[in-house]
Amino acid sequence: MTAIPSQSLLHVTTDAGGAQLIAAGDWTAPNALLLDQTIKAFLVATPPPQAVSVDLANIAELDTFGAWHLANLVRELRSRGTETGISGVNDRFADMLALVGKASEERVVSTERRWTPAATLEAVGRATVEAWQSFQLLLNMLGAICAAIWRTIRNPSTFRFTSAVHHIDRVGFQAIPIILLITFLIGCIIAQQGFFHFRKFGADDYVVDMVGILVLREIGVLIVAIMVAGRSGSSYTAELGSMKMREEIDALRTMGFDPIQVLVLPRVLALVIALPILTFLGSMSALYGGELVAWLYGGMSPDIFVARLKDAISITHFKVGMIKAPFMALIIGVVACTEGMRVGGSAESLGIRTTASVVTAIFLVIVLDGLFAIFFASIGM
Amino acid sequence: MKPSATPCKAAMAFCSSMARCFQHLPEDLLTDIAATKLAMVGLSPKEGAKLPSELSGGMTKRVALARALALDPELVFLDEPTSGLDPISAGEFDSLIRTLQQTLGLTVFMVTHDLNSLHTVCDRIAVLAQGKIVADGTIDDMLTSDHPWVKSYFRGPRGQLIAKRLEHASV
Repeated sequence: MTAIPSQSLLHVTTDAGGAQLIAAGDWTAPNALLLDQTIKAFLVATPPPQAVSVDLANIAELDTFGAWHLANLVRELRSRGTETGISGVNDRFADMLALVGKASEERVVSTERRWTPAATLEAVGRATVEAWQSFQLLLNMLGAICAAIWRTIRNPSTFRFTSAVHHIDRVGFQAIPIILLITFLIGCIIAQQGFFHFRKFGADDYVVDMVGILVLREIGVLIVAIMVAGRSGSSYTAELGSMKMREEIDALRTMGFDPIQVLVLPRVLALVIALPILTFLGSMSALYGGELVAWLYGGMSPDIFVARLKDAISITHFKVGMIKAPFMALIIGVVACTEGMRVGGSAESLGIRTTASVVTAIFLVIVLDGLFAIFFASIGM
Repeated sequence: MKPSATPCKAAMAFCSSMARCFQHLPEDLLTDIAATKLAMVGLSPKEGAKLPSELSGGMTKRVALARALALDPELVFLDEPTSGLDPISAGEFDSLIRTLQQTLGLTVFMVTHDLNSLHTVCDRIAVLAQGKIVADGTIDDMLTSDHPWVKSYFRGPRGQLIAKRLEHASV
């Protein structure tokens, strides 16, 4: 942008009666900053004269930016009690000046909120109520799923078998490679850390106990559940959410289909079936990883590892892990579907709900794991 | 004709679209000009502060138009500006386009299927059929065209109804 001397845009001559302003040049967007500065400088510098006449005859180009500045100048002068006249308006610009002059009377009312202690308390209160409502919605969804299961049992032909199989393929079969890889690595890491630290006490043999019990009871199912919450829970939420956004779910309801039965039940059921299978595969993969590290890093031959493993773990440890899997699947499914159904009309709410789905699901999975730990401890498993 | 897929505030959204092109302008100046542009399309600052999802169909299109006018263009492209609007809003939007075109000296290029808009606001119409421009001219040229598609478009049952009604209204 070339700098244009402000004189050429607004020429001011003052005499006893008042001031003459001669506007000239391009009153357009590229000169908007200059116009702004010129007009502000004029308004600040001069004590309000009795009368001002603005001559527009020399204006070459005018757009809405220029027209706005002109209207603003006139309004400012008039608000200070200066008689302001405009002359030499080109016919080309008359309509625009009238329109912009009228429109520029609108002022933006600042809606910014100031911080106050009350506002913080209000935010905390709202968040608490919101959390309670989220919990109620989860229970609501659980109840709706139970009702849908009951209806499906009474009328099995309404069950969406194809859909359920499709989702089992998606959340189960297609997840196998990544689940195997992650749990394998976790198994390796646990064994490596075990050897590194236990070696100091000469307790190498107990690494096998640690890997076996940890993987079968806790880590296997927990890692798989967290992976599935991030991988499949988020996709459930996004799918249902975009269906909600495009009002497809309302359309289903209008046609007499129950969205819970058509969309939610097959998805949740697919998770409940797939997660135990994935947990089993993941646990085996982690044990294999542990065995490999024991052999290559710890110098423990696979035969010894397997023999130690037989002594260290019992079927109980395996059961403890596997029993938890379907419950975690249920939680992931219910949270994902509830959050999906809560998506509103905007793209932002889809993002918020998908994040909330994954965060809530992982949180609840860990809480549930803790509750199961207390339960199994008290029944002696 | 959606104002913005991003859920930021409507007025602010188009303020910032201007700010990006005129980064040297102070924020309060941009806000004032944004409010003026919104007022020019018939929206109050209160409505300008709403989220896109809170706007009605007509308001959505007005915000989109205001944003298109943010940088003072000479040429405005509109794609089906009156689709999905009720006849009241569609009529208001048509006359708004006409007013702005005349006062701001705009050239408006509009893609539309709305016979009412074609009859009331267009100076020149080009008919696109089978991938080619088959007719070009004023609405009277369209009504006298011999091309079968143009004929059935402008002089089909709906076309005749509207033409008759408009003639009636002007008499």
